[in-house]
Amino acid sequence: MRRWQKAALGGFAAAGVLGQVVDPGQGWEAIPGSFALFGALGCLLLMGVAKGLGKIGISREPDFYRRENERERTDGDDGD
Amino acid sequence: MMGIEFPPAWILWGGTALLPLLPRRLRPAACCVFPAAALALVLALPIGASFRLSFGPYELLVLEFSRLGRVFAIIFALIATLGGIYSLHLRETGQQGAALLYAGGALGVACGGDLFTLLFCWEVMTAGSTWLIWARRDRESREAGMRYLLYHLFGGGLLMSGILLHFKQTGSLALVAFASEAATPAAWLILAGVVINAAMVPLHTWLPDSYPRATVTGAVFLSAFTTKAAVYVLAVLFPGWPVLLVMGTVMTVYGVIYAFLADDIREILSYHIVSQVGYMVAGVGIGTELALNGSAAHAYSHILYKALLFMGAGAVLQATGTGKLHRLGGLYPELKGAFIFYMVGALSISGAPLFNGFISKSIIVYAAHEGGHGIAHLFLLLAGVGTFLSVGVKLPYFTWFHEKKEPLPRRPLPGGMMAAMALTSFLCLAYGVFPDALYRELPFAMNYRPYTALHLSEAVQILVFTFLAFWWMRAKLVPHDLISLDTDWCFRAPAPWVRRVAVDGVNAVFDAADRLAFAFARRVAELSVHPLAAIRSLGRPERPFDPHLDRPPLSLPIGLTLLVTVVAAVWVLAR
Repeated sequence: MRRWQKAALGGFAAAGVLGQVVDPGQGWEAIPGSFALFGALGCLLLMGVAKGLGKIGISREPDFYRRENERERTDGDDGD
Repeated sequence: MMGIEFPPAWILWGGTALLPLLPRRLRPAACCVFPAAALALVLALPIGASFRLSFGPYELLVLEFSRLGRVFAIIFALIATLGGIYSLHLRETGQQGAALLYAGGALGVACGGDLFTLLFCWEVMTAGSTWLIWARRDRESREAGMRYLLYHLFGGGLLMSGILLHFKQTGSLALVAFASEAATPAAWLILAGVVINAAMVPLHTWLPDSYPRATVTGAVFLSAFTTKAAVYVLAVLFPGWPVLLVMGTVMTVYGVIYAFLADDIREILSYHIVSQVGYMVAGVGIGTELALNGSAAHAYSHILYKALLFMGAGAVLQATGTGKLHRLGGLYPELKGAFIFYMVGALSISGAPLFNGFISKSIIVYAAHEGGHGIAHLFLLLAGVGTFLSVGVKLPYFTWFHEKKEPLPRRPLPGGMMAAMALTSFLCLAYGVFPDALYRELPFAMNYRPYTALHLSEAVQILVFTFLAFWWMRAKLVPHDLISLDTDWCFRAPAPWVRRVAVDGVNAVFDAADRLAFAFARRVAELSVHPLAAIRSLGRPERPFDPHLDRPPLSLPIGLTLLVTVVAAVWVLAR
């Protein structure tokens, strides 16, 4: 990432927090930077959940269904 | 004014019928003209306009123009026009006609005034959309199209059952909201039929299964109509049903998790349709005037930016021949224009300020907060994080930047595709900057202001820190050539066994019955011809055909013929 890009991100983040100071919400939304924390932690949580689901068997080879069908057909032919 | 009060869908269906009669070179332009004419009619129709049609003993209200219907009708006709521009290079009358038929069905749903008209237009949409999937003409699209068709025929069957039951109980076909407190079986059946088209989890798999396998241009139309027509029907018939708030909230998060796992860029966008429609369904479930306005506004915005995203993804597919993220990368120098337009759609769907997603999605999130639905509010915010993560950062990063994985062909993009993306981008920005242009079309009065310091700081902080979290983790997020098992695994995995029992097993029974019937018929025939021989052969094992035994002897007739010939010859010679 280039320096100006980092500066732009920093500027946006600062403006975001400042806006929350000017117009605080209710409850946790009134804490300056709470949305930043929510964004970062939420992003990591979603990535973690998705990766975890992938690892426990959701992610499969692209020809998963075709192989399942062909294996069953082969088994069926053997049985006959 | 009375002269123009007829259903706008008829213009598009008329276009479908006329298209094959037009010169081939005029057909692409006609696919823009017919939707533009329908849009002009929608804009000219007054609220309350109606058109009745006699159908046997029934008087059908094929047009009843409501404020809510107008919002959906405008965007349906508008996106059909933009889709027509995107498809200007297309030379397939079948696809062009199917797109008009499909768009007409969606317009018919938005403008119709009774349940029978709704059901008819619903099924027309199924026919047109299935064609757009099959039009890719490969094995995957054929199979996915068949699964899509089965899902929608099942949903249509539920809808029809509900409508018939409702008609039997009430004698009315009017589109009137059902009360959640006194829900009848008919209402539940209708709801079940409608939520299938809304891609409600777990009956959503037809969408990410089929849309990525549709044609480049067909996917743009598909992204716009089916789910949003279902949202319209939910808003008319089921406002304030608490179950919809739960369903919608689940959809928002479910969609973003699966989108993150997907490798096909159009599959990522398809899962985000599930997620974004979840916002609209949740809004209908909240049921307040603000939330219903939010659902209508978000459907309007979503159709624009989602079509734009599918246009951008379609441009990548058109140019390189692949939409697989693990094969893409480094396309920015060659596909700069498509990237810029795609990013307008990506920032819109992510709810970035100045883009149209910001002015619509925030209404629903705010309505959930105001309505005291704290958990739903948190999940809707979390889904926003996931949306920016996949559509706003991961997809463009691994498509246009990152490293080149393999040399891919570079086909030039047609001018119509670029023009449609430019126009749609302009509309996404225009509605984002001038939200009142959309708000004044909404069914209820709007006091909501999107551009407050709190809303802006919420959006900016979430976007910036989601990006930073991605950037930190990006090395671990490199896409792989994998698919994700979804709820359709429940019927796709046992399909071979079901086929063995329900198809092969039934075939075996039929074969056995066939053999028995033929054996019986043969025995009866033998008994009729040679009763004694047939009785003698009873109980003996059957033997193969033996010409010496089974053929009647030919030696006697041949010998007699020869003898007669010889005698006749001798007699003639002796004379």
